Amino acid sequence: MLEAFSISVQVGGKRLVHGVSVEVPPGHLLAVVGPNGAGKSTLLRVLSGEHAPTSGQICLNETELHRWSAKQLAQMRAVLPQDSSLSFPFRVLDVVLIGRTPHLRSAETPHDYAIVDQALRAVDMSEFGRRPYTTLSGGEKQRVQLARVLAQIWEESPLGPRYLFLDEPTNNLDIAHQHRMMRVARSLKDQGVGILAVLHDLNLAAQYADKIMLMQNGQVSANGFPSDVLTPNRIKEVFMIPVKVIQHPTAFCPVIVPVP
Amino acid sequence: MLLLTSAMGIATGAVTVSPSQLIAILAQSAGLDFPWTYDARQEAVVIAIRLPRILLGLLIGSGLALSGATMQGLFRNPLADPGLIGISSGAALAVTAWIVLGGPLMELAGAFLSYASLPLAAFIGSIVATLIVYRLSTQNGRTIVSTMLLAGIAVNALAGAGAGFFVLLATDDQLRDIVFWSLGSLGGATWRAVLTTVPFVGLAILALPRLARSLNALLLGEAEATHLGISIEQVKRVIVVLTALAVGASVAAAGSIGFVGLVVPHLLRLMVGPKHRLVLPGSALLGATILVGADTIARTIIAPAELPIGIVTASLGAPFFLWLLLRVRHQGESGLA
Repeated sequence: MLEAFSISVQVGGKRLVHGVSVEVPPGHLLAVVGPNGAGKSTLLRVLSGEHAPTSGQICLNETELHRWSAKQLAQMRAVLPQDSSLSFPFRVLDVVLIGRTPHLRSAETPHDYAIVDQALRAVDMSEFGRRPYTTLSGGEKQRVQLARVLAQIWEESPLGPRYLFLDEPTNNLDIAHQHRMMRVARSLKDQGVGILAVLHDLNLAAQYADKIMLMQNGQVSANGFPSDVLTPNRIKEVFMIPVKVIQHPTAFCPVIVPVP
Repeated sequence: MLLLTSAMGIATGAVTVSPSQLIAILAQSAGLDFPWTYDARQEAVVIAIRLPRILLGLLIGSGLALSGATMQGLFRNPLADPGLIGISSGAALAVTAWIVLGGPLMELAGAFLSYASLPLAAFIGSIVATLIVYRLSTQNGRTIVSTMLLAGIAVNALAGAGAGFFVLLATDDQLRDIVFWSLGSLGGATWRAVLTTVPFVGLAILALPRLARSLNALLLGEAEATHLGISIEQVKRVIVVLTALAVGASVAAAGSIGFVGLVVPHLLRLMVGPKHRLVLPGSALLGATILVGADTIARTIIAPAELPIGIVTASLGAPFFLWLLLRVRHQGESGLA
């Protein structure tokens, strides 16, 4: 379980996140949504251990986050960044292989290469293994990065359940690959991985998340099941846009439609 | 290739030594007897002059190239080299200052100190410059790499201005010394110089290639490397200290030799790809080979006079590098980022 109690983050006198508590149980997908500048990415950086919070407490698998070593943390949680700048022409295969870093003792084994293969297949990039990363399109790069974080937490860890942090993972992806990415997340979830995803697309969040946390001005505005959080009134209040909420014809989740 | 270049370097020069004689001389010092004959002059030249010079060239070439490769990884920038964060310019300032102001002090200090003073000045200069840059860019135990680059540029400019000031003060003789030193030369190679350089460069050669995996991850970004379980602050500290020591020791022993640290890693990436596990040791080997080759050219091409080695590395290396750039562009590969 990933648990955080009243997290606050202040940078240069500015309060980016204030008093946020959140839980991500293993096998759950929590979507964090909210307007630009609501503190979503800051929260993700703190929960993933990249920055320490100004105040508050974070526990991962019943141990305080800072008590895990960097390597131990890396063996059970992976982070997909918004965008990665890699200007050296690594082969796609080698980029994904970097994801195996926390598990390596000396050299990479055939086992690691097998995992790389499967991770590339999971994101539909098998044919690109030998291409230089720098020649890929933005969407292809994003899928390679997803394969890299998949390779990092591909196998169960003896340290406890695994977690995946996704920071706006569907940026740069076409509609087919947006859903493919979310289905990959869902299949990881079914294997017991706890997932926290910062999403911009409310409909994507509604369709794939178990729970949705709506943030505004660094605070939690609402947290719960998609149909409870995504109400027309709350969306109008937070995003300043009038919407109608209808029901998805087959998945029965809420669908948000802006109205003029 | 490395061995061959070294052997050729030993064999060529004012006193020629045949390959068989070379083997015999080296074997003799290892206690083995070979049938090939050589005279005492040849033995003296090989043991006292050429061998230390070659060894120094090997050490410095590998140290500079390895430091360059590591810096490029750390800064995620294929144009980085040890000169970028002030290591070389700090040394240059200290040396210029010493050449101009050190004369009177040297007379007081006696023979040993005057012999060792120039390398010492270079060494201290490079370490001080690196420490300043490192301090400026480190806050609360986190080193900000972009600040480090900017601080390096500022320190470079400041050191350049300082060195320029001392050049103005210099007499004609001192000016000549300064120019010669700034172009670099292995001419001062002695066994003592080799022995003082070995520990510093050796440490870098032993330790830096172990960071290959961390550097690969660091290329994705610092946050990404952290998420992959790498203690990046520790990695940065190790890199800064080791490269400062290796480059400082190299500059101290042979003056500033440009180009090797920047270009050798590029050549390696074109040959074996960007993976640091190959680029780091490969750079050390290729850097050593290139420097010894360049030095052999430097001391034979206008014999009996000697060309500063910096001129050789730049005038041969730069056109070669440009040719590589063009070729890569024509092939439409993004071999260089």
